[in-house]
Amino acid sequence: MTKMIRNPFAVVLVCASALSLVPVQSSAQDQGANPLMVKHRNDCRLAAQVLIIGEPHTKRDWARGYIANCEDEGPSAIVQEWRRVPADTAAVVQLMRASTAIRDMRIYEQVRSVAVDRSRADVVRVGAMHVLDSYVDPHHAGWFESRPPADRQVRRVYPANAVLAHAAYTNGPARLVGSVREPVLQLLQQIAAARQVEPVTVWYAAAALAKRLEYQRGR
Amino acid sequence: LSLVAVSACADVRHPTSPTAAADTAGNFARLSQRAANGPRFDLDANGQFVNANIEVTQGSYLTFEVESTDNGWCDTVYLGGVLSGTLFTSVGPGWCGKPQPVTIGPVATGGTYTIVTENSRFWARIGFPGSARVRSMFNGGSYRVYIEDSDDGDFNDIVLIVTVRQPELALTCGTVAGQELTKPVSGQAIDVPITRGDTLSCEARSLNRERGPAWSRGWRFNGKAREDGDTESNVWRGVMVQSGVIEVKAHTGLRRDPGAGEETLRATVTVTNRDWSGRSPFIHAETVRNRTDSDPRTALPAEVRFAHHLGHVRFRASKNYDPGDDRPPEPTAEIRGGPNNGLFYYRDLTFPVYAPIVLNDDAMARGSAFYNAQVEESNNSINFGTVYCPRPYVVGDLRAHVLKHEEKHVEVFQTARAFALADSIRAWETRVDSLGDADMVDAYFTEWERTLQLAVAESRRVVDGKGSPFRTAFSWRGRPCTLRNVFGADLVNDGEN
Repeated sequence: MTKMIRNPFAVVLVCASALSLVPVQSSAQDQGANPLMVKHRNDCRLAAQVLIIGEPHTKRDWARGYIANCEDEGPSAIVQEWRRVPADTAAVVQLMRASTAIRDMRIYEQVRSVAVDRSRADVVRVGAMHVLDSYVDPHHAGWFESRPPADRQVRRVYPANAVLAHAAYTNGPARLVGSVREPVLQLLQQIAAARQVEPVTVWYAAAALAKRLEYQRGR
Repeated sequence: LSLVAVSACADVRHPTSPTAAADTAGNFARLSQRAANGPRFDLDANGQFVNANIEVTQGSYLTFEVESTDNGWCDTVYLGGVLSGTLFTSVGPGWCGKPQPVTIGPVATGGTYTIVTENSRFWARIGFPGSARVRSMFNGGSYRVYIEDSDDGDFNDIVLIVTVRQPELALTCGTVAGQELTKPVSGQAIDVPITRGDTLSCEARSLNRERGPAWSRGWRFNGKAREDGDTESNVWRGVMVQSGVIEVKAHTGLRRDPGAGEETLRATVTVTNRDWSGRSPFIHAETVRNRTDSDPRTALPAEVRFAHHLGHVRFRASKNYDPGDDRPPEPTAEIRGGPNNGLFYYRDLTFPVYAPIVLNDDAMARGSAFYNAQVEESNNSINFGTVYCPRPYVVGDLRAHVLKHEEKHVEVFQTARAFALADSIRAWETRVDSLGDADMVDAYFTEWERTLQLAVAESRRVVDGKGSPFRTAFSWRGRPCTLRNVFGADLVNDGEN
């Protein structure tokens, strides 16, 4: 609770949630709304609360997954989560799914800063780069293909080349305007070029993702 | 079939001779009769010698000799002729002398060689046109033509001797299948067709066991000396991607002695393009279960919000799905060993694609959140004109409908890629590089991305486009129906709609 009080987001969110629950339920009853919709809106608020203030911590995993369905509340909570997601692959993967499911400028800006932050864990940075890649093209995939060889002896960088027939995402309130291809490519190239200082898992992923964008552009 | 024109010319000083040569007595073959493995002598209507036909194998050597053996009444003889367009002559040392033998070979191709006299010159020299008669014999590899220029019947006025020496060396080349050569071609100058990417094996072989094995050196391809392996090996083997001429110097014997009759053997290798028509493009599609531990950008969520959360298809450059092998296939290969050693070429132009169709079976199971979000089988499944699909549909036909939709994506993708790739395959089949494959790999993956994007976009346009008959469609008991997502809203394809 102490942690929650220290967090200014927590106060705002808890109050907002409390105020909003009653009118939503009332509206649903009045309009004969599907109770699933009502539950969904409440769950979105709860998921955002959990991710922003960290409580209840037992719902953290659930919240990371569920927030992907909440384009209104999601971006702020996802941004917050990127700031502190641990070096845990499962947690990063959940956050990636949420971040790619909602395309929002705030998420984009946040993952850009995470991608270049050398104080962050490798898996977190790689996850952030994949989100950037998906913002260039939501049909991109290639999580596994961006891993360096098991022996770390890189003889050649292969482009992450998986493509999805479907891209099921929604736009957040802060929509991305125009293509982010060039700035994302520049950022990835910058990381890929810093082989002397970047861990191989990081620069290889950047190189693999950059290669695809380069190839798409036509070299 | 080559034509050999030989003129055995005699300056007749003495038109008759008293005795017949001992070695010819009783051994004449009948004219116009072919001896075993020997020549056939053709006569004209008057029984006059016209020509001799000798069957030789490729690589044979022909030695021509001419002499006059009419003791005491020698002729001065000359030897000259044309073999496969090359003039050869050997001027005799004078009256009663014997010209230096002329050896020609190896003959480029096997077949029947015809020895003809140049009639005008021949008869003019003999001076008795129309009267010359011929007998011949075959003896130990030599063909002898005994020409009678008078009526004494000794048949030794002029003796033409043709000795055929079979080849002692051959270059044998063929495509390697396992350890064996398929349809090997053998000879001293051979043409070898081979499909690009196949392994060629060439070997210099001795054809004369009595003389000993073959000894080789100086292998070359298009003039460039061999740089791989043992340059004195009798075998040169490797993948071929570029046409050219293979050469090797070799001789037979019990020990290496290049001065002892070393010959140059040649193989003209013609590399033909691979046939991609039956293999392009390769795509392997299969249905797999949704895996939450798979690519985070492809795993289907438990909360089905969009129709595309029920199933999707993922395309990647790979022949199969192996999580432990995430590399796309190597598009190029470097040839290690053989005449094309060091060349890079495109090993595969089919851009193999693995297309797992992922179905969200957990969501389409009884009791799932998605299942529970649907109306029960009841009369109130029609709300404000919308017919909702009931729960039995979720565990009934829905899976088949989703699968059909995804399979259509694969089908359109396949067609679109085949169209986009055709030009690339034509352009790249013959491309090789001796300095490295960086540019080739870049070109390959650039093309890969281009065709992949085109094909996926085309599949989306055809399959998911509004108004498309293949767009995800749900129906219950023959009537279109609408599903609900887990949040109670109508299920739409995706957020892009």
